[in-house]
Order: sequence, then C-alpha cells, then structure tokens
Amino acid sequence: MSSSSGGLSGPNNIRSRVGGLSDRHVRWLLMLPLLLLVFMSLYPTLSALYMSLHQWEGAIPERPFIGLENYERLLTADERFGNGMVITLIILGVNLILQMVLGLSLALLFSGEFWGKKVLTTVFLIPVMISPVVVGFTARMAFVNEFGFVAETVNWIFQLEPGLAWLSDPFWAKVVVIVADTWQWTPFVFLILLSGLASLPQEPYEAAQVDGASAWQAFWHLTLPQMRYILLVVLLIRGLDLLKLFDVVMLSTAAGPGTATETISVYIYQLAFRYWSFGYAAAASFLLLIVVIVVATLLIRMIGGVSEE
Amino acid sequence: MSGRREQSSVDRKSGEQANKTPAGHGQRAHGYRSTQKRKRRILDVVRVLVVLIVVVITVVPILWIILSGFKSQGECLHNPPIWIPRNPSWANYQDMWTDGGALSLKNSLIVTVGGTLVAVLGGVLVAYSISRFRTGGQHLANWVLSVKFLPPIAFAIPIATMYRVLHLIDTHFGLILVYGAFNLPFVVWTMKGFMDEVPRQLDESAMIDGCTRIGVMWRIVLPLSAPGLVSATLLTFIFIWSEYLFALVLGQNELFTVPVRLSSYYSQAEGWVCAPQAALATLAILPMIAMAFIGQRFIVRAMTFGAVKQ
Repeated sequence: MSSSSGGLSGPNNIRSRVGGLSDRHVRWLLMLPLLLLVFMSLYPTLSALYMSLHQWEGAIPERPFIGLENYERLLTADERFGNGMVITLIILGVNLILQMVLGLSLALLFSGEFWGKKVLTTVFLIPVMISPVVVGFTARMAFVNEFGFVAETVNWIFQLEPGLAWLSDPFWAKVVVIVADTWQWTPFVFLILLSGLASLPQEPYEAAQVDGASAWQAFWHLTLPQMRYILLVVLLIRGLDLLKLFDVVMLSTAAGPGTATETISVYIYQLAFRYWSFGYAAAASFLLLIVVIVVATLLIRMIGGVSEE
Repeated sequence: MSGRREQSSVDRKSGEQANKTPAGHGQRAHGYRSTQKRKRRILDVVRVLVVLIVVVITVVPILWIILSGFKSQGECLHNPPIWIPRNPSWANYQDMWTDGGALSLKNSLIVTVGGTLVAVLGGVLVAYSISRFRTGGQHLANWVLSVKFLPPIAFAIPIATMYRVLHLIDTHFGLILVYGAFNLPFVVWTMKGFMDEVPRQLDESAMIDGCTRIGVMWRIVLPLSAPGLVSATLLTFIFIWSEYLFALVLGQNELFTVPVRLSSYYSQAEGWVCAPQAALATLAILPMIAMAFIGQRFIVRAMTFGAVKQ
C-alpha cells in the first residue's frame, strides 16, 4: 500500500462505489449509531425537565402541573438535599486531595526504570478493574462494627477499649467511604501521571542539573508547570466521577449512620425508587445536572486555557 | 541488586553529561558523584519499601474476600478476625450458585457481551466518520464526550419511566441498549484517537485502487488501529460488567446482574450473609484480575490515552 496520493484532491471529492453514495452521505450514515445516544440522553433530559414540573408520585394517575414548586422545596425546605450536596462535596474534596497527592508522589518516586515496576503496575491495575460494588462490599468487610478485619486490627494496635465502631459514627463512616474510593482510584491517578511524566522532555532537566538546581526546584519549576494540563485532566475525570458516587456508598455504609454518608446520587435514588416521588427526584437530578455541567465547563475552560499556552 | 537496573537508566541521562563535564573538575566532581550515589541507594531502598507496602495494601483486601468465600458464616464475621478458614469448603459456592448466583452471572454475561458489541460496533463507525470527516465539528465531538461524564442517576429516572411504557423493564434487551448507548462515547473517543494516527493518504490511495469507503474503514483503518480496538473493547466490557445503578433501576424485579445480586445479601430476617456474598464477589472479580494480567498493556494504554494526548 503506497501512501503517495500525489497532487490529487482530498478524499471528499472521490466518489465511493457503494451505490454511488458519496462521502457526503457516507459520513452521516456512519453517524447513525449516535441516534441511540441521543435517544438515551437528550430525550431523558427533556423528559426529566417535564417530570420535574409536575407532581408525579408513583402510580397515581393525576400528575398536576405545579411549576417550579419542586425546585423551590428542594432549595429552601429540603435539608436532606443540602446535606447530600455537602456530603458529596466533602467526600469529593478529600478524595481528590488524597488521590492527587498520593498518585503524584508515587508517580514521581517511580518515574523511570526501577525494580518491580512491572509488578507494581500490574498489581495496581487490579483495584481499577474491579467493580465499585465489590470495593464497597470489601470496605464493609474491613470496617464493619465488631468484626471488620481492618477495624479490629486498628483496635488491637491502639488497644482501643471499647473498639472504634466505624460504621455507626458519622465521621468515621465518611472515612470508610473515602478510604474505599482512594484505595480503588489512587492507582488510576498514578498510572496516568506516570505516563505523563514519561512523556516530558528530558533536556530541561539536564540543563537544570548543570545549573545546580535542587530536586525540589526542578519539581516546582519544571515538572509541575509541564504537568499542569494532565493534572487538570485527571482532576476533571476523578472529580466528575466522584460527583456521581453511588455504588461504594450503597454497599459499604448503606448511606448511614442516618444520612451521614448519603451522597446526592444516593438521595435522588431513594427519592425515586424508595418513595416513588418521580417528579421531585427528577427536579433534584436536574439541579445535580446543572452543578455537574457548571463544574465541568469551568474545568474544561481551564484545561483549554492551559493546553493553548 | 535492586539498584543496578534502575541506576543504569538514570545514568544514561545524567551520566552522559557527567562524562562530559567532570573531566576538568577533578576532586569536586568526584565527591559530588559519590553523594549522588548514596542518595540514589537510599532512594532505591525507599522504593522497594513503598512497592512492598503498596502491594500489601492492594492485595490483602482482595485476598480477604477470596478467603472469606471458603469460610463458614461464623468465621466470616468473627471477633477477633479469622484469616485462614479452618475447614475450607465449597459450600458457599454451592449455596450462592443455586441462590441466584448462576442466574446473575448468566444475566451479566448476556448484557455485558451485548452492550459491548453495540458500543464497539457503533462506536467504530462514528469514530471513523469524526476522524476522517470531522462530521458535526468540535461541538458534536464535545457533546459525545460530555455524556460519559454526566451522572447516570439523572438519566435513570426518566429512562425507567420510559422503559415501563415500552415494556423494556427487566429485559436483557433494555439493558443492552442503555449500556450500548452510554459506552458509545468512550469507544468513539478512544477509536478516534487511534484512527487519527493512521495517515489519511492510506484511505485515499486505497480508494483510488478501487476500494469503497466502508472497505477502507474495514480493511485498512480498522486493522491498523487494532490495539485501540482491543483496548476499547476490554475496557467497555469491564465498565458494563461492573455497572450497578442502571442494572438496579431497570431490572427491578426479575433481571438481576452480578452487582445487583451482590448488593442484596442483607435482609432484616437473616442479617448479613457475607460468606456466599464473598464467593460471588470472587467470581465477579477473578475474570477482571485475569484481564489485568493478560491485557495489561492494552488497558493501561487505553486508560492513559485520552489524558496524556494533548
């Protein structure tokens, strides 16, 4: 196959031979699978908007139009909604800091060749690949009151009497969720940052070494600025993932004690599929959607700004 | 001799320049180099320690789950914790298997294979169109990507309502459609990246030689981006296999996948039956762990691909 197309014009002018279909048609025919995505995302979004403006309760056939009443109730009178948002943001914030710091430190420590790199990357791939449901279950096994293998080990090390009951304490239950998510996703952050570090040009470091720069200076003035783009991308991926945190919470703490670990996704799920308040839940999910889109747009702007430099 | 190999590669960078500069510097350069060497040795020890700690922290919880599958219910929740089952047996596996485990594995397999096929087949076509014709421009490409990041709970509620009307609740077909749709963006994004690397001149010259557009995509571009195809397929499979929320909401009564079955081992009457749950969890993660070992190269590449590429 020679790649010399010489001075011929672009592919758009060459007629393909399927029944005389030109590229102009083929390109759109190939896009047809996107209809499925439109059907599953755009239509539901509009439908959610419609539902959120009605009083839509389970199987009750009357669904009167109530305007923005659902939204008003959510924003002014629903403590659990605010609670869900705050808990989601707390878990998100702590997780992001932990995972970025741990992931970056590990990536810096292990950049370049080293003994056991293969072992580390393989083992590190395991948490990323297993289902968050299993991670949540494992966290429960590790921290369940009286029996958890991590909880009891901690109690034994610190000689706590009575032992710390992680899952019935609002603070420590959040720690359990955070530990579970950090356990699962720090490897992911590490792997991406590692390949990011590997792609950095070497020359500036050699120059810095000649100039007698310390390792810290090299990190601060060379590595960090060059890694800004990739760090932001990882932050975006993980941040948006954490905004929809659901599986781990359901399996590890079951949102408890009380609503101490009830993330916004869990609360909306409860509204819709436990209390069958579809209209109200749709309004809540619409607000969540707006938050996510605003956060994502801001971050993507920042990324765009960085990558243009 | 953990330091040897590591050192040689670092030395390739710093050593080159070390060979050039120290010639005139004599003593001072020598002293500098020996402290560097000591520093590097300390760093190696730190690295080995960190690797060991990380491996332990990662592996022990998984080992605990696997071991728990062979414990009796009493041993599974015991204070102090029992690490090694005293009378390991397959009893939990038998219980789990007949008590919905086999069915959930069958359901998961059907929707995962179906959903992966839909996403990959559809995604490849869209990716080719966007890669070669920039169809729909930047806005469409961004929209496709953005769907992947939106919270599924926002879509789950209206889709559940819609599915009830369409009688798609509790059907494999319904789940396959949802999984196919929501994994399409990932496949499109990955495959577009790989296809962009295949020179367009190949397409053009093949078409001059009488190949059709579809033929070009199928016989030339796709084989050349095969690593991307493998990566995208593997990861899509993993995403769908692990998915919980849609499976929970759209298969409320009869159709339960492995994650849904895993989440229902707690009841008011019996309390928490964790031993068979651990057995099912083991079956759920073993294929994934096997994939981590076999397909490591592809998976890491696909994961890091989008982020590293600017």
